[in-house]
Amino acid sequence: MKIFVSSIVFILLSVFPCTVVSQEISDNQKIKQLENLVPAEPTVIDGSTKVLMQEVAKTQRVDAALILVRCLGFNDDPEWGHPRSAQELIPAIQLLKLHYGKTVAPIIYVEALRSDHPWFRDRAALAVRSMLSQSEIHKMDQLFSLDSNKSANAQAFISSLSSNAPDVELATYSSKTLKEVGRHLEEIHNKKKQ
Amino acid sequence: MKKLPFWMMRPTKHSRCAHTTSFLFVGVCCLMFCTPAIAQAVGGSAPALGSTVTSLIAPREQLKKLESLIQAAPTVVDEETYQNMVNLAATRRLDVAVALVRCLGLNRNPAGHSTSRTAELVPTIELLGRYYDESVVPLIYAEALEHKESWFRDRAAVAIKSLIKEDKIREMDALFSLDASQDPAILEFVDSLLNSNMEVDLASSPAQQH
Repeated sequence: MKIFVSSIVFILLSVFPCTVVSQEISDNQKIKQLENLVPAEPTVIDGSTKVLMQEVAKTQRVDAALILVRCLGFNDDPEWGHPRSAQELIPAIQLLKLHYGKTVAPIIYVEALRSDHPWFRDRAALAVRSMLSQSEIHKMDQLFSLDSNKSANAQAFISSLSSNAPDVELATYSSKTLKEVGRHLEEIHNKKKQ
Repeated sequence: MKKLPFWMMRPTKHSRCAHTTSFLFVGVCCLMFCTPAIAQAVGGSAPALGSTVTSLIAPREQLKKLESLIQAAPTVVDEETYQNMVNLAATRRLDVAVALVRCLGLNRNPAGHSTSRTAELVPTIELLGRYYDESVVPLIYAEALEHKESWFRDRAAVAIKSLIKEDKIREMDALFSLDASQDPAILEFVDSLLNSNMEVDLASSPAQQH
Protein backbone atom coordinates (compact mmCIF):
# COMPACT_ATOMS: atom_id res chain seq x y z
CA MET A 1 0.00 0.00 0.00
CA LYS A 2 2.84 2.34 0.99
CA ILE A 3 4.60 1.62 -2.27
CA PHE A 4 1.43 2.30 -4.23
CA VAL A 5 0.89 5.65 -2.48
CA SER A 6 4.51 6.70 -2.96
CA SER A 7 4.38 5.85 -6.68
CA ILE A 8 1.21 7.95 -7.05
CA VAL A 9 2.96 10.84 -5.27
CA PHE A 10 5.94 10.53 -7.60
CA ILE A 11 3.73 10.51 -10.67
CA LEU A 12 1.88 13.59 -9.45
CA LEU A 13 5.17 15.33 -8.73
CA SER A 14 6.34 14.60 -12.25
CA VAL A 15 3.11 15.79 -13.86
CA PHE A 16 3.11 19.03 -11.84
CA PRO A 17 6.08 20.79 -13.48
CA CYS A 18 4.93 19.52 -16.88
CA THR A 19 1.56 21.19 -16.33
CA VAL A 20 3.17 24.45 -15.24
CA VAL A 21 5.57 24.55 -18.19
CA SER A 22 2.80 23.76 -20.66
CA GLN A 23 0.76 26.51 -19.00
CA GLU A 24 3.61 28.94 -19.63
CA ILE A 25 3.91 27.87 -23.27
CA SER A 26 0.18 28.30 -23.74
CA ASP A 27 0.39 31.78 -22.13
CA ASN A 28 3.11 32.73 -24.61
CA GLN A 29 0.97 31.46 -27.48
CA LYS A 30 -2.08 33.36 -26.30
CA ILE A 31 -0.11 36.59 -25.98
CA LYS A 32 1.32 36.14 -29.49
CA GLN A 33 -2.15 35.32 -30.83
CA LEU A 34 -3.54 38.54 -29.33
CA GLU A 35 -0.55 40.50 -30.61
CA ASN A 36 -1.56 39.48 -34.14
CA LEU A 37 -5.07 40.83 -33.55
CA VAL A 38 -4.07 44.35 -32.39
CA PRO A 39 -6.47 46.68 -34.24
CA ALA A 40 -5.18 49.57 -36.36
CA GLU A 41 -8.41 51.52 -35.86
CA PRO A 42 -11.43 51.36 -33.54
CA THR A 43 -12.94 47.93 -34.06
CA VAL A 44 -15.96 46.12 -32.67
CA ILE A 45 -14.71 43.16 -30.67
CA ASP A 46 -15.98 39.63 -31.28
CA GLY A 47 -16.62 36.99 -28.63
CA SER A 48 -13.51 34.89 -29.20
CA THR A 49 -11.15 37.91 -29.08
CA LYS A 50 -12.79 39.02 -25.87
CA VAL A 51 -12.22 35.60 -24.29
CA LEU A 52 -8.61 35.65 -25.51
CA MET A 53 -8.09 39.10 -23.98
CA GLN A 54 -9.48 37.85 -20.67
CA GLU A 55 -7.13 34.87 -20.69
CA VAL A 56 -4.15 37.05 -21.56
CA ALA A 57 -5.04 39.52 -18.79
CA LYS A 58 -5.26 36.70 -16.24
CA THR A 59 -1.54 36.00 -16.69
CA GLN A 60 -0.81 39.45 -15.18
CA ARG A 61 2.44 39.44 -17.14
CA VAL A 62 4.11 42.66 -18.27
CA ASP A 63 4.25 41.65 -21.94
CA ALA A 64 0.54 40.79 -21.74
CA ALA A 65 -0.18 44.24 -20.28
CA LEU A 66 1.59 45.90 -23.20
CA ILE A 67 -0.48 43.95 -25.74
CA LEU A 68 -3.69 44.71 -23.84
CA VAL A 69 -2.86 48.42 -23.95
CA ARG A 70 -2.33 48.11 -27.70
CA CYS A 71 -5.76 46.45 -27.87
CA LEU A 72 -7.44 49.62 -26.57
CA GLY A 73 -8.86 49.95 -30.09
CA PHE A 74 -11.37 47.17 -29.44
CA ASN A 75 -14.79 48.11 -28.14
CA ASP A 76 -18.19 46.50 -27.67
CA ASP A 77 -20.88 47.69 -30.03
CA PRO A 78 -22.47 50.71 -28.27
CA GLU A 79 -25.71 50.12 -30.18
CA TRP A 80 -26.13 46.66 -28.67
CA GLY A 81 -27.42 45.88 -25.17
CA HIS A 82 -28.12 48.36 -22.41
CA PRO A 83 -26.43 51.80 -22.58
CA ARG A 84 -22.95 51.82 -21.08
CA SER A 85 -20.20 54.39 -20.68
CA ALA A 86 -17.23 54.43 -23.10
CA GLN A 87 -15.05 53.05 -20.32
CA GLU A 88 -17.34 50.06 -19.88
CA LEU A 89 -17.45 49.48 -23.62
CA ILE A 90 -13.67 49.09 -23.96
CA PRO A 91 -12.66 45.63 -22.68
CA ALA A 92 -8.95 46.52 -22.39
CA ILE A 93 -9.73 49.23 -19.82
CA GLN A 94 -11.84 46.86 -17.75
CA LEU A 95 -9.23 44.10 -17.87
CA LEU A 96 -6.30 46.38 -17.09
CA LYS A 97 -8.18 47.76 -14.10
CA LEU A 98 -9.20 44.33 -12.88
CA HIS A 99 -5.93 42.43 -13.30
CA TYR A 100 -3.20 45.09 -13.14
CA GLY A 101 -4.34 48.25 -11.39
CA LYS A 102 -2.49 51.54 -11.36
CA THR A 103 0.99 49.99 -11.73
CA VAL A 104 0.26 49.62 -15.45
CA ALA A 105 -0.10 53.41 -15.92
CA PRO A 106 3.53 54.06 -17.08
CA ILE A 107 3.05 51.54 -19.91
CA ILE A 108 -0.17 53.29 -21.00
CA TYR A 109 1.60 56.68 -20.90
CA VAL A 110 4.45 55.45 -23.10
CA GLU A 111 2.12 53.85 -25.64
CA ALA A 112 -0.06 56.97 -25.76
CA LEU A 113 2.93 59.27 -26.28
CA ARG A 114 4.23 57.00 -29.03
CA SER A 115 0.94 56.84 -30.90
CA ASP A 116 0.07 59.24 -33.71
CA HIS A 117 -3.62 58.30 -33.58
CA PRO A 118 -5.91 60.67 -31.66
CA TRP A 119 -8.46 57.89 -31.11
CA PHE A 120 -5.77 55.79 -29.36
CA ARG A 121 -4.59 58.69 -27.15
CA ASP A 122 -8.22 59.41 -26.15
CA ARG A 123 -8.76 55.80 -25.15
CA ALA A 124 -5.42 55.72 -23.30
CA ALA A 125 -6.39 58.90 -21.46
CA LEU A 126 -9.71 57.31 -20.54
CA ALA A 127 -7.87 54.23 -19.23
CA VAL A 128 -5.49 56.37 -17.16
CA ARG A 129 -8.34 58.44 -15.74
CA SER A 130 -10.26 55.31 -14.79
CA MET A 131 -7.27 54.02 -12.80
CA LEU A 132 -5.64 57.07 -11.28
CA SER A 133 -7.01 59.93 -9.24
CA GLN A 134 -6.55 63.52 -10.46
CA SER A 135 -3.61 64.07 -8.10
CA GLU A 136 -1.93 60.85 -9.28
CA ILE A 137 -2.37 61.92 -12.91
CA HIS A 138 -0.83 65.27 -12.08
CA LYS A 139 2.10 63.47 -10.40
CA MET A 140 2.61 61.25 -13.46
CA ASP A 141 2.48 64.29 -15.76
CA GLN A 142 5.21 65.91 -13.68
CA LEU A 143 7.23 62.70 -13.54
CA PHE A 144 7.28 62.42 -17.33
CA SER A 145 7.58 66.26 -17.64
CA LEU A 146 4.58 66.33 -19.94
CA ASP A 147 3.77 69.97 -19.17
CA SER A 148 7.07 71.08 -20.68
CA ASN A 149 6.87 68.55 -23.52
CA LYS A 150 6.58 70.41 -26.82
CA SER A 151 5.59 67.41 -28.99
CA ALA A 152 2.11 67.47 -30.53
CA ASN A 153 1.37 63.95 -29.27
CA ALA A 154 2.21 64.89 -25.68
CA GLN A 155 0.13 68.07 -25.85
CA ALA A 156 -2.85 66.19 -27.30
CA PHE A 157 -2.50 63.49 -24.65
CA ILE A 158 -2.38 66.08 -21.85
CA SER A 159 -5.54 67.74 -23.12
CA SER A 160 -7.27 64.34 -23.27
CA LEU A 161 -6.11 63.59 -19.74
CA SER A 162 -7.33 66.89 -18.36
CA SER A 163 -10.65 66.76 -20.17
CA ASN A 164 -13.44 65.38 -17.99
CA ALA A 165 -15.41 63.83 -20.80
CA PRO A 166 -13.42 63.50 -24.01
CA ASP A 167 -15.38 62.14 -26.93
CA VAL A 168 -14.11 58.65 -27.51
CA GLU A 169 -14.61 57.45 -31.05
CA LEU A 170 -16.38 54.09 -30.80
CA ALA A 171 -16.72 51.59 -33.61
CA THR A 172 -20.17 50.14 -34.30
CA TYR A 173 -21.33 47.29 -36.52
CA SER A 174 -23.33 49.74 -38.64
CA SER A 175 -20.34 52.10 -39.08
CA LYS A 176 -18.23 49.11 -40.05
CA THR A 177 -20.80 48.11 -42.63
CA LEU A 178 -20.98 51.68 -43.96
CA LYS A 179 -17.20 51.78 -44.24
CA GLU A 180 -17.22 48.48 -46.13
CA VAL A 181 -19.94 49.78 -48.50
CA GLY A 182 -17.91 52.99 -49.01
CA ARG A 183 -14.76 51.01 -49.82
CA HIS A 184 -16.70 48.79 -52.23
CA LEU A 185 -18.20 51.84 -54.04
CA GLU A 186 -14.75 53.43 -54.22
CA GLU A 187 -13.34 50.26 -55.80
CA ILE A 188 -16.16 50.22 -58.40
CA HIS A 189 -15.55 53.91 -59.13
CA ASN A 190 -11.81 53.31 -59.58
CA LYS A 191 -12.45 50.36 -61.89
CA LYS A 192 -14.81 52.47 -64.01
CA LYS A 193 -12.17 55.21 -64.27
CA GLN A 194 -9.62 52.70 -65.47
CA MET B 1 20.34 -18.91 10.05
CA LYS B 2 22.44 -16.33 8.25
CA LYS B 3 20.39 -13.75 6.31
CA LEU B 4 21.22 -13.54 2.61
CA PRO B 5 21.93 -10.22 0.92
CA PHE B 6 18.94 -8.96 -1.10
CA TRP B 7 20.46 -9.67 -4.52
CA MET B 8 20.73 -13.34 -3.62
CA MET B 9 17.13 -13.64 -2.45
CA ARG B 10 14.34 -15.01 -4.61
CA PRO B 11 12.15 -12.23 -5.92
CA THR B 12 9.02 -11.89 -3.85
CA LYS B 13 5.86 -9.94 -4.54
CA HIS B 14 7.17 -7.09 -2.37
CA SER B 15 10.57 -6.88 -4.01
CA ARG B 16 8.96 -6.79 -7.46
CA CYS B 17 6.83 -3.91 -6.23
CA ALA B 18 9.93 -2.17 -4.92
CA HIS B 19 11.65 -2.61 -8.27
CA THR B 20 8.66 -1.18 -10.10
CA THR B 21 8.63 1.80 -7.74
CA SER B 22 12.33 2.46 -8.18
CA PHE B 23 11.91 2.33 -11.97
CA LEU B 24 9.03 4.75 -11.67
CA PHE B 25 11.15 7.00 -9.47
CA VAL B 26 14.01 7.06 -11.98
CA GLY B 27 11.53 7.79 -14.78
CA VAL B 28 9.96 10.59 -12.81
CA CYS B 29 13.36 12.13 -12.05
CA CYS B 30 14.31 12.02 -15.73
CA LEU B 31 11.01 13.66 -16.66
CA MET B 32 11.51 16.39 -14.07
CA PHE B 33 14.94 17.25 -15.42
CA CYS B 34 13.94 16.93 -19.06
CA THR B 35 10.74 18.99 -18.89
CA PRO B 36 12.48 22.41 -18.91
CA ALA B 37 14.68 21.29 -21.80
CA ILE B 38 11.65 20.07 -23.76
CA ALA B 39 9.86 23.33 -22.97
CA GLN B 40 12.82 25.30 -24.27
CA ALA B 41 12.96 23.19 -27.41
CA VAL B 42 9.33 23.92 -28.24
CA GLY B 43 9.69 27.64 -27.74
CA GLY B 44 8.89 28.16 -24.07
CA SER B 45 11.31 29.15 -21.36
CA ALA B 46 12.97 26.71 -19.01
CA PRO B 47 12.16 27.67 -15.47
CA ALA B 48 13.69 25.86 -12.53
CA LEU B 49 11.47 23.44 -10.64
CA GLY B 50 11.20 25.89 -7.73
CA SER B 51 10.09 28.67 -10.04
CA THR B 52 7.55 26.50 -11.85
CA VAL B 53 5.99 25.62 -8.54
CA THR B 54 5.95 29.29 -7.54
CA SER B 55 4.28 30.32 -10.75
CA LEU B 56 1.37 28.05 -9.94
CA ILE B 57 1.07 28.96 -6.28
CA ALA B 58 -0.01 32.57 -5.86
CA PRO B 59 3.23 34.47 -5.18
CA ARG B 60 1.50 36.96 -2.91
CA GLU B 61 3.35 35.87 0.22
CA GLN B 62 6.71 35.80 -1.51
CA LEU B 63 6.01 39.18 -3.07
CA LYS B 64 5.14 40.64 0.34
CA LYS B 65 8.37 39.21 1.71
CA LEU B 66 10.35 40.79 -1.12
CA GLU B 67 8.57 44.14 -0.74
CA SER B 68 9.54 44.13 2.93
CA LEU B 69 13.19 43.87 1.86
CA ILE B 70 13.19 46.97 -0.34
CA GLN B 71 16.32 48.79 0.75
CA ALA B 72 16.98 52.46 1.31
CA ALA B 73 20.65 51.96 0.44
CA PRO B 74 22.81 49.49 -1.52
CA THR B 75 22.86 46.21 0.40
CA VAL B 76 24.37 42.78 -0.14
CA VAL B 77 21.67 40.24 -0.95
CA ASP B 78 21.53 36.91 0.90
CA GLU B 79 20.97 33.60 -0.88
CA GLU B 80 17.41 33.11 0.41
CA THR B 81 16.31 36.53 -0.85
CA TYR B 82 18.05 35.92 -4.18
CA GLN B 83 16.22 32.60 -4.60
CA ASN B 84 12.94 34.29 -3.74
CA MET B 85 13.65 36.94 -6.38
CA VAL B 86 14.40 34.26 -8.99
CA ASN B 87 11.19 32.38 -8.21
CA LEU B 88 9.12 35.55 -8.38
CA ALA B 89 10.74 36.82 -11.58
CA ALA B 90 9.85 33.55 -13.32
CA THR B 91 6.16 34.51 -13.02
CA ARG B 92 6.85 37.58 -15.29
CA ARG B 93 4.06 39.41 -13.52
CA LEU B 94 3.80 43.18 -13.56
CA ASP B 95 3.53 43.58 -9.77
CA VAL B 96 6.65 41.43 -9.42
CA ALA B 97 8.47 43.59 -11.97
CA VAL B 98 7.69 46.72 -9.95
CA ALA B 99 8.89 45.05 -6.72
CA LEU B 100 12.06 43.85 -8.47
CA VAL B 101 12.79 47.35 -9.76
CA ARG B 102 12.33 48.71 -6.24
CA CYS B 103 14.85 46.08 -5.08
CA LEU B 104 17.57 47.53 -7.33
CA GLY B 105 19.46 48.38 -4.14
CA LEU B 106 20.30 44.72 -3.54
CA ASN B 107 23.56 43.46 -5.00
CA ARG B 108 25.76 40.39 -4.67
CA ASN B 109 29.02 40.77 -2.84
CA PRO B 110 31.54 41.75 -5.56
CA ALA B 111 34.36 40.20 -3.49
CA GLY B 112 32.79 36.75 -3.75
CA HIS B 113 32.31 36.81 -7.54
CA SER B 114 34.67 36.62 -10.45
CA THR B 115 32.67 39.15 -12.45
CA SER B 116 32.80 42.88 -11.87
CA ARG B 117 29.88 43.64 -14.22
CA THR B 118 27.07 45.49 -12.46
CA ALA B 119 24.46 43.80 -14.63
CA GLU B 120 25.54 40.43 -13.20
CA LEU B 121 26.02 41.60 -9.63
CA VAL B 122 22.64 43.27 -9.25
CA PRO B 123 20.02 40.45 -9.19
CA THR B 124 17.20 42.73 -10.37
CA ILE B 125 19.08 43.62 -13.56
CA GLU B 126 20.03 39.99 -14.17
CA LEU B 127 16.45 38.79 -13.63
CA LEU B 128 14.78 41.54 -15.65
CA GLY B 129 17.06 40.59 -18.52
CA ARG B 130 16.32 36.89 -18.11
CA TYR B 131 12.55 36.90 -17.61
CA TYR B 132 11.28 40.23 -18.93
CA ASP B 133 11.64 42.16 -22.17
CA GLU B 134 11.60 45.81 -23.13
CA SER B 135 7.93 46.13 -22.12
CA VAL B 136 9.19 46.59 -18.55
CA VAL B 137 11.24 49.70 -19.45
CA PRO B 138 8.45 52.29 -18.81
CA LEU B 139 8.13 50.94 -15.28
CA ILE B 140 11.87 51.39 -14.68
CA TYR B 141 11.72 54.95 -16.04
CA ALA B 142 8.78 55.78 -13.76
CA GLU B 143 10.57 54.40 -10.69
CA ALA B 144 13.88 56.09 -11.57
CA LEU B 145 12.28 59.47 -12.17
CA GLU B 146 10.39 59.19 -8.90
CA HIS B 147 13.42 58.14 -6.85
CA LYS B 148 15.58 60.80 -5.23
CA GLU B 149 18.73 58.75 -4.62
CA SER B 150 21.43 58.91 -7.30
CA TRP B 151 22.61 55.30 -6.62
CA PHE B 152 19.09 54.09 -7.48
CA ARG B 153 18.93 56.08 -10.71
CA ASP B 154 22.39 54.79 -11.71
CA ARG B 155 21.29 51.20 -11.23
CA ALA B 156 18.02 51.91 -13.06
CA ALA B 157 20.08 53.34 -15.93
CA VAL B 158 22.14 50.14 -16.07
CA ALA B 159 18.93 48.09 -16.06
CA ILE B 160 17.48 50.13 -18.92
CA LYS B 161 20.71 49.88 -20.90
CA SER B 162 20.71 46.12 -20.48
CA LEU B 163 17.18 45.91 -21.92
CA ILE B 164 17.14 48.41 -24.79
CA LYS B 165 19.65 49.82 -27.27
CA GLU B 166 20.89 53.40 -27.40
CA ASP B 167 18.52 54.53 -30.16
CA LYS B 168 15.54 53.28 -28.15
CA ILE B 169 16.92 55.04 -25.06
CA ARG B 170 17.10 58.28 -27.05
CA GLU B 171 13.53 57.69 -28.25
CA MET B 172 12.33 57.23 -24.67
CA ASP B 173 14.21 60.34 -23.52
CA ALA B 174 12.58 62.31 -26.33
CA LEU B 175 9.18 60.82 -25.49
CA PHE B 176 9.44 62.21 -21.96
CA SER B 177 11.43 65.27 -23.15
CA LEU B 178 14.00 64.48 -20.48
CA ASP B 179 16.69 66.52 -22.23
CA ALA B 180 14.61 69.65 -21.80
CA SER B 181 14.12 69.04 -18.09
CA GLN B 182 15.31 71.70 -15.63
CA ASP B 183 15.77 69.16 -12.86
CA PRO B 184 19.50 68.40 -12.35
CA ALA B 185 18.64 64.90 -11.05
CA ILE B 186 16.83 64.07 -14.30
CA LEU B 187 19.65 65.50 -16.41
CA GLU B 188 22.08 63.36 -14.41
CA PHE B 189 19.86 60.34 -15.12
CA VAL B 190 19.95 61.12 -18.86
CA ASP B 191 23.76 61.30 -18.66
CA SER B 192 23.85 57.93 -16.88
CA LEU B 193 21.65 56.42 -19.58
CA LEU B 194 23.99 57.50 -22.34
CA ASN B 195 27.24 56.87 -20.48
CA SER B 196 28.75 53.54 -21.49
CA ASN B 197 31.42 53.50 -18.77
CA MET B 198 29.32 54.31 -15.78
CA GLU B 199 30.45 53.23 -12.32
CA VAL B 200 27.84 51.94 -9.94
CA ASP B 201 28.17 52.11 -6.20
CA LEU B 202 28.04 48.48 -4.88
CA ALA B 203 27.70 47.31 -1.28
CA SER B 204 30.51 44.86 -0.53
CA SER B 205 29.57 43.11 2.72
CA PRO B 206 26.32 42.55 4.60
CA ALA B 207 27.39 44.92 7.35
CA GLN B 208 28.61 47.61 4.98
CA GLN B 209 25.85 49.76 3.65
CA HIS B 210 26.46 52.95 1.78
